[in-house]
Amino acid sequence: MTTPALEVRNLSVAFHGATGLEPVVDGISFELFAGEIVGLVGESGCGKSVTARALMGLLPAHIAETNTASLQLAGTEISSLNNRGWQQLRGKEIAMVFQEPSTALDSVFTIGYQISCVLRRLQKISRAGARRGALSALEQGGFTNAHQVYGAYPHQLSGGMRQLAMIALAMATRPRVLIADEPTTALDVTTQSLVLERLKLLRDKYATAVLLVTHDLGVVAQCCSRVMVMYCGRLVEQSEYSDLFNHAKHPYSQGLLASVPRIASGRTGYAQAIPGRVPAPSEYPTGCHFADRCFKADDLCRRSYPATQWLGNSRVACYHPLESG
Amino acid sequence: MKTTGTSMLLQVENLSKRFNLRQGLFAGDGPSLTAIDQVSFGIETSQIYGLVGESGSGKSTLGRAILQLIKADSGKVWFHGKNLCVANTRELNTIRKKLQVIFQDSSAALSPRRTILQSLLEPPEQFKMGGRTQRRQMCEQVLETVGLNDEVLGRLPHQLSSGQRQRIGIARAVLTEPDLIIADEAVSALDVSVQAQVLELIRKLQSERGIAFLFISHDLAVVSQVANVVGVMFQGQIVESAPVDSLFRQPSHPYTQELLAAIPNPDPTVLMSTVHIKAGLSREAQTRGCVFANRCASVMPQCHVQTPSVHSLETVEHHHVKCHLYSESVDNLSDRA
Repeated sequence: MTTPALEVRNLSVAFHGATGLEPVVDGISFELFAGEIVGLVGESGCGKSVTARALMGLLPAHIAETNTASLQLAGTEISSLNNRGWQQLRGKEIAMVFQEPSTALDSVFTIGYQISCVLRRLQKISRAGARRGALSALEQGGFTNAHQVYGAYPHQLSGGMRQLAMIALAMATRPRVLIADEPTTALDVTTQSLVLERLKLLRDKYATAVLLVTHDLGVVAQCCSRVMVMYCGRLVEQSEYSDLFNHAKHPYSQGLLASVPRIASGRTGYAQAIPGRVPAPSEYPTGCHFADRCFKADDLCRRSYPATQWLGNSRVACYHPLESG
Repeated sequence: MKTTGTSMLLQVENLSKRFNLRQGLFAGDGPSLTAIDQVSFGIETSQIYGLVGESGSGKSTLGRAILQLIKADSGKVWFHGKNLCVANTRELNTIRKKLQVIFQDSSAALSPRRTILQSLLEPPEQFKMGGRTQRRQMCEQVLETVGLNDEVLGRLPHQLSSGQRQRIGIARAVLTEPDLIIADEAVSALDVSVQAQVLELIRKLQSERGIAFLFISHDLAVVSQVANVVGVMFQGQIVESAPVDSLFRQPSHPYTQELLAAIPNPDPTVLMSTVHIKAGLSREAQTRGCVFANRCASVMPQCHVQTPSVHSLETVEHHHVKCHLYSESVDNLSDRA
């Protein structure tokens, strides 16, 4: 088997809270392979964005305690890197696209300047070379008017164009791994399809491994081969997306699928809500975190957390996985 | 989109609003943006009218112009037999009891320093409804309606989840027993699972209390979950309007078709079609012809010259399209068939 572009073993993040350490991400393991887009889904407050930041080494030690058994980038261990080591890596080998491009981009510099800055810092090239690099990154990013966008300030672009510029920036160094944290959540459906299309195109071109954090299973269906469902800091189900759609094994995955609004025709097919809400990290129950909202929960579920087991091609953490059909 | 004014709860006639893009002394000569352009539509009693369109299409401006939070340049808004555009402040204050609003961002809509009870008491106090104990009872009752527990009354907005906060926003709008609520992207900021709960609540308020809604959203799938009638807005104009089933069975305007095709379906076998949007730096104002002409896949020469008029589809009642493809010249229609 090929070496994964990113391999994560037992990643845990705990925040320093009022009552001591609060586990936000709790021992998750997964891998990303070159050229695949993997979806990370779950409701807000499940730890998706924290996972994304932890993978980028972006969580400051005085706020969060990050522990991992092993974090390998293309076979190289990076979990023990210091700040300087991360700086060599970030943006070059592993890059990130944030949800809000208007805050992620600096409003007082032009788009072109910001991309060439990144290129000059990471690649040690001349000013002119960086300019050429930035222009070609913008062209690859789907801009037909790259020169115009190069000289534009973020506020002169629409939300969708800003996000495309953000992706162009992240992909300018052709990283092995791209982490996209809700890249299309703030966008219209029409612009969203444009951004996702571009993401897929760049993935094909550079064989990037993409972790797509989203709460929209529709987006996952259109882009991702595999999906990881996260609930309260743990991965409850990992599988091929088509398997999840046709036969979700964890009750939470099924609940998420049922809550996606689809075009309701003839007053049927209303979205079904999952009862209850995501608890705060300090309120996580001792057993399965989903037990209080689950229709299959029993005493066993409330007593201890289920271990992750293989069911067919899926990894599921549930005592009572749903039967097919 | 002509309708008879009598049976309508809200009737909007040729409403327009232009914003000057340049400010200051000489702003009058500067470039301007037409946010809403001769919009006419109506909402019947206890009907949910879904208004969709992308950001910048003027949906929110239309909502605010109806509420008189911004003054329209021209046109009329008829509500309970009064033209709100010419109503004075005192008249508006009485009318607002029956015309309420829910905003997208519930944390910005609630004062962070007031408890939920204090915020909820405001509308009944404003409209002098009942005595002190009665008002408190009303608050407790309305919480039950929106599915919340009494214990939230003493809390501050930040102590609630976003779904709970949005329910408070809805509770506050429902308190005055309105006939029409304008919900501006009321569920857009919520998780899908919570979104489904709030949509259910809106359907319940409609069926149990007979409240009509103007439900503004950029998400056609969400709109299809609640609306009876849908209007599709593009650059300040309603380009298509139809009963919800008809719109999704027979989307007729090229823009509606584009919007529908762009919705990501959770079924991996249904692939989203790629949309071809010309990536431009600015929204250039379309002065002549159809507003959608520059992006339209089925554009014809006349679209750049002549503004299309509103056509009714023959097969379905109340299905109106503002597009040259549906004009009387039959050769265009046969092209598409």
